[in-house]
Amino acid sequence: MAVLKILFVTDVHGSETCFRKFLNALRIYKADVGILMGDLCGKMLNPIVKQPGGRYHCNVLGQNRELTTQEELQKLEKDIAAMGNYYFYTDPDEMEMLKKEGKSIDGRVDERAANISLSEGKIDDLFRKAVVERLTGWMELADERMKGSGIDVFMAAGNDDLKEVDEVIDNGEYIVNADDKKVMVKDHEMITLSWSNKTPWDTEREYPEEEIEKKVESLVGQITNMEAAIFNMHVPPNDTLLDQCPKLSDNLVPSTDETISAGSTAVKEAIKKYQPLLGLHGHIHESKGVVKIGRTTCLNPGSEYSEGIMDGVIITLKKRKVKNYLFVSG
Amino acid sequence: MANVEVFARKASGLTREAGMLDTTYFAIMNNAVPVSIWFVLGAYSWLPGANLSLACLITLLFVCFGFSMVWGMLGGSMPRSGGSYVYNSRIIHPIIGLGVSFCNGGFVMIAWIWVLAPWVGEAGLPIMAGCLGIDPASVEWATSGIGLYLVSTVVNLSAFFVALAGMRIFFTVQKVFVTWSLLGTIIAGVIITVTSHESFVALWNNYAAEMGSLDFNAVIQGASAEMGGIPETWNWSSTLGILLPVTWVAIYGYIIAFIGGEVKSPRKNIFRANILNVVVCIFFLMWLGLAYKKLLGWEGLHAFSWLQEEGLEGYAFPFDVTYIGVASMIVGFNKILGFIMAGAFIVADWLWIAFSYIAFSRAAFAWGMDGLGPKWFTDISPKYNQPAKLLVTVLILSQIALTQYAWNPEVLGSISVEVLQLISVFGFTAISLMIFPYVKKSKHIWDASPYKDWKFAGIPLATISGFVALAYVLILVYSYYIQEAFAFMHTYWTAIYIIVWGAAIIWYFVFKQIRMSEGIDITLAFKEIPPE
Repeated sequence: MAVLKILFVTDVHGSETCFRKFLNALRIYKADVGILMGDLCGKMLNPIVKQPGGRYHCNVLGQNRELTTQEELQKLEKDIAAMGNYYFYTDPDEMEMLKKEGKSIDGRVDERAANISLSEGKIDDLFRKAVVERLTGWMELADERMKGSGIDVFMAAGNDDLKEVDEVIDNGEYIVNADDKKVMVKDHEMITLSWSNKTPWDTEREYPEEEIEKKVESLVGQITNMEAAIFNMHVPPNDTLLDQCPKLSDNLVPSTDETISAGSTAVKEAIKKYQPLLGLHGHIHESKGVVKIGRTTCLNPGSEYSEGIMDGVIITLKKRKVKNYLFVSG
Repeated sequence: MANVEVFARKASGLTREAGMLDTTYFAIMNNAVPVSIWFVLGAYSWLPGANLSLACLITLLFVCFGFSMVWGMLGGSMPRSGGSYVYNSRIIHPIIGLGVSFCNGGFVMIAWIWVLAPWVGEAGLPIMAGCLGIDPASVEWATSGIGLYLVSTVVNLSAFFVALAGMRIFFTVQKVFVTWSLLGTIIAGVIITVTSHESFVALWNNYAAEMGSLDFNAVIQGASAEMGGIPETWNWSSTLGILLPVTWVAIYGYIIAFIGGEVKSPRKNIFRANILNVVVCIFFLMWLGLAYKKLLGWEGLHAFSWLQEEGLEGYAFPFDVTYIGVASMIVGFNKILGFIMAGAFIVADWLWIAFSYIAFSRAAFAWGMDGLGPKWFTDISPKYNQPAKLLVTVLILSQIALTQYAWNPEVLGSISVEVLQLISVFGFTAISLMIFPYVKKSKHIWDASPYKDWKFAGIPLATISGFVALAYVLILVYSYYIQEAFAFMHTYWTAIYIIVWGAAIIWYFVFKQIRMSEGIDITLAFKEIPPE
């Protein structure tokens, strides 16, 4: 039996740079299979506001940028997309209107931008449009680049991803949407779960542990050979090296010196109970690592999407065993 | 809503910023202020004529504009990247990244346990005994040989178990101990500050008469005779020499760069906390240094430093002369205050040992994940949720090191450890920042950096700061090599530098070959992937 080489990447959060690197890495690493797990959607929308005199204003990473030429604007668009943000062109009047629709948050939010408003109403629509456009572009790029490569590529959403994401992936010709079903990764059965347990952010796909347990059970029921199975589950198993993140106060201030386990107990119990060959996880960006739960090797390659760095892990499987793995960063 | 510039979705990870004070406190935690001050105030004995205030100001200037910028800018530009290993491997080369990590996370952390764990026996217990009114002779057994080995082993084992118990417990212990250590320092500082020179001399002389010990002038004369005279004024040579221990007080806040992924708003907080940490630590040192000098006078400062480090014939007080012992004597050996001040020294020193376990195990874990180490480097104990095998490795290696130290104690060895760390970590990381704006393979990171537009005379501030930091490393290394006080260590520590770096390079190629034979090319771990 030949060695099967899988490249697993997760949580690119809208980063154009990371997605393109993922596609290119498949050939560079000579992977047989590529798996890109959610979260796929970015978190921020940068308005590029037209000013008098043909100038434009945009706040990126908390810094004000004033632009006049087409080259400057193109560079700005590229920079915003590279870090996973979206952009739209607007004028001061529309901006005033949008500000009123946004939900006010007291103080600064997130490390990468100042003066943020949570999306509501029309801003939500702008977000959905931007997400679909970016993802559609990715699917087209994959169709163009991967055809004839012989590399199987799977994608699935994560808890942060809008419902529209599934449809866009389904519409892609080359990439297979693996979410909520069993797919074959060569000789290995793989089940995929985009959900997470409850988070402090009330995200799109988060559910109580009891519901996750039921969902996992229904997916597990489709597996015929557990010894060679892969659990591709966005949320990592609870209380392991893969799910450690800063503890948050009631008003979402992260602690500098206290971490908590944010993974799913249902996922951990399922892994302990069924003992698949491999667990592939993400969700907690800063918890890159590997743990063994019984015979199952569980991996979280982490994410540095905002720096345009693609973090991943190459896994080699042979004779239904994990032969080796290597964390990569490109 | 007037200033809204960006819109956000409801998505995980969107948090309010951590307070800068939290971040700064975390940085200060790694500086062990009361122990550092003890070490610096003892330095007059081997560096007579040192100008502490000037050294503090030089350090403040170079560290704020150099080292703090290095760790602040790199930490803020790569906030989830995990420290010097990643900065150097991404910006310079994986071998440099590994070499830096091998020296810092590997060798230096063992070396810190080697020299710092025994300080509890050599200095901590005698200080505590003196402050509690117990004859220091009763803990003499702990200051050398088998006694020192036993005390160091207890310190080492307790640190091991706390590290094994996990970060939650470590951080809880750390918070209590750092608060204690700062409180102890403040109490000592206030006591020394509010006491005049005249009343102290009177108190000393009365006590000397009572104990049949040396009076204040006799201490100065005795120390002066043994030191070959006390210089009348300060000199540059000793001031350069004292830069090393003074820098030690301020630079270890760089640890916050390693928790970049755990600090939200790192672009602001890591940067500012790095600066603030230096200011706070240097403030404590300058305050204690000036107050101690006011209390003892210039000659007294040197004489008491000599008394602290070397002792004097005829000295018969029942306590070791340190700034803590002196403060305790001034308040009439009040047991509560004495316990807080002496305990501050012990707990601050202990924290360094516990931190060495965490640093070593995390570094080795990272090598393992990149294929640059045995597979068991990445094993996490399901029972403890910690890299237990690596922690046991640190315990074994450090116990071997402690065996060596207990019978060959060398307090000044700490300076050599610092120099190795300065060259291997601060030096290379300064180079990384210096060239960061110009390196093609990390250009995309630089382009997204919030410091990209910070320039002076058209030159990126990153480059200038990297240069300043590198220049300071060179000044410190020069200071180390020109000091006669350190001359006895130069040869073998230079050999150690070369061996450790050589081992790191050999390690890299050995594991590259091993992984290649297993069908894994570890260079892929660092390979640049084109985004187009």
